[in-house]
Amino acid sequence: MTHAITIDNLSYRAGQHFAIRDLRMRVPNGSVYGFLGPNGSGKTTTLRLLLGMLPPADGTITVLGHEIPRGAHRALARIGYVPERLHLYPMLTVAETMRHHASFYPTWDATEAERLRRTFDLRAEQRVGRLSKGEAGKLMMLLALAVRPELLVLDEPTDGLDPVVRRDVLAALLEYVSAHGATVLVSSHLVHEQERICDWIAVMDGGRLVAEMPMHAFRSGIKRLRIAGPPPLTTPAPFGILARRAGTGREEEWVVRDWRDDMTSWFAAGDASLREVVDLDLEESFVETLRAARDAGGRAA
Amino acid sequence: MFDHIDPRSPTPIYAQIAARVRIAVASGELATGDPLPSVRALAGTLRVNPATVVQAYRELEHDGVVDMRQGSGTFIATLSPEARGHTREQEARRLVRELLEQAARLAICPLDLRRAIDAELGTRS
Amino acid sequence: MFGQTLYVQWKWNRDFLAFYTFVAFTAPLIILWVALPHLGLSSARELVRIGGVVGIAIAVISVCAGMTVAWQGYGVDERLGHIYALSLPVTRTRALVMRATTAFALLTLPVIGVWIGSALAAAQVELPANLHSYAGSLAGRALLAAWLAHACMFALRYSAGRRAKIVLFTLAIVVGSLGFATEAVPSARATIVRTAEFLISNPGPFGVFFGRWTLLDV
Repeated sequence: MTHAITIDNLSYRAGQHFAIRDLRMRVPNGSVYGFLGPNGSGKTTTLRLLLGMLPPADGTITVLGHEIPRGAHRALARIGYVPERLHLYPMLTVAETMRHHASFYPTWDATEAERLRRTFDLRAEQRVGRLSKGEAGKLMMLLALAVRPELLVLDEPTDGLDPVVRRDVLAALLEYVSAHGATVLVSSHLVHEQERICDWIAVMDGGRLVAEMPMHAFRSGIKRLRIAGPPPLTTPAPFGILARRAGTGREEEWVVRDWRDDMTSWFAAGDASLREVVDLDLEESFVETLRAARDAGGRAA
Repeated sequence: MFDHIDPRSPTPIYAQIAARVRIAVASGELATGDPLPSVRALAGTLRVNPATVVQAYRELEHDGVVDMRQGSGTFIATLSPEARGHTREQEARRLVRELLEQAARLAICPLDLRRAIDAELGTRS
Repeated sequence: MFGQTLYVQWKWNRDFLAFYTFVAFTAPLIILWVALPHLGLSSARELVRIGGVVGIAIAVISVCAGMTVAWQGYGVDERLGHIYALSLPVTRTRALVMRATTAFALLTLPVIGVWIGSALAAAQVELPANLHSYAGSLAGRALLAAWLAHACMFALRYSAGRRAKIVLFTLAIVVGSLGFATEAVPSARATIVRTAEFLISNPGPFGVFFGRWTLLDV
């Protein structure tokens, strides 16, 4: 099994319209797979679908070899899940929550759970309902990690957390991943964080995946070109053009993908001169990919 | 030592980590036999993908800068003073390579660059 | 798993259970205390009447306890959007069975209250021979009533939203049309009344609610 998660043709309907349509996704084993996308693009819905919490309208989902939603309860025993909002029973204390959670997972590591509780500075007798946002985030990550999962599914795990807590939560996550080789599927709009930790990236928009590839390919392939002079479009370009915009003066700005350094020669052949090749960080790459996908969708419609 | 890893930089993170180690070795900050942080610890401290750390360490091992010992960790390899000098030379060439890449992006030809270097070195000495 | 579910159910129901246990315990005693001055020399018929009042009180308490526990348990999950419950590695069936059985276990508490309270009340008066097991049998009926009420509310709450509405709607239609038929169609009336009588009196399934709570043939 090379993929921890395999999704094909997934569709989900919320009311009248399709929230997810024809989704195809492959999360490789051992990867830290980042899920990027604007609000409302369907990220949380996709995560809930692959955990068997929502019934799909169409398509197949396989998680850790189990068919979802039929084998969901078996898959869930090997998954650590951190949802968007605190989902734990508010009247229980931290210690009671840990005990309750432990009883459902045969792989629960009590020593590790206790160590994490102390590292995260969570008081055992503190009621869950009275935890601060940061403490709640830490507790949810603690529960997800102490289960010793093979797959971690994280929905905005550090959103709204202050920098210190964010650091602690991510450090614990990455230490676990290094030590156990777990697969991580992390959905977040904090692009710079995704940039650090993910080795795969998927961009979702309007219920569809518009990009899915290794992180280095996504980042290195997308560039912004500053071009002066008439653009030569007589021969097809060896790269993909995501956007063309007017620059300063007579210059044009092109956003391209699948760029390689030797492609400067294509400009040399024509009359245009390539002034600059600008690297885009993940956030800019993400925005340009999104824009291009939406424009393409608009033109097709 | 690893404080300023910039994920937004065009230089991949693993290369930045490896560069830090090389500089530390070249300056004598790290001596033969000194341990590097474990993959697990460094991934946690830097909050980066552990595969990135592994890649950095592997590259360093390939270049003879470190030894990765199964079970014990990663340690600075035995480097003679000549070898250390060689590392400095490698680092210098690496810096120049970065400079050349940046110049290429701004379409500054190597001749102009050389003139600029001479001018700067002239003002410094 | 079961133990922890029981613990959690206990934690979120303990205030209600304490209340119902207290009420169930004191109801027979209070009713007796109120009625005692008006009793003649503890005549059997008077006792039966008191027993009837106690019975109704206990029936109400048991039904309320059962429904509250079912409502409460679901309510907690509902407020959290069911995310936690759905994320746990148990099949829905198993989760529901654990919920229901732990609730049943907890509902024995108010029933024990009934038992002790009515036993104490019964001890205050001289009971005729065939009413000696009054406390025990009352408690037994209370348990059945609580369980049945819980089961009904549980089924309603835990069935998917639309299904529950369909069930309620169908029930309303059935009961409504039966009621209408009883009044408007004289020929059907007799059959309906007889069926209803069977259903609500011993040994029919709902006899636990409507039957005479003193239960012994006095």
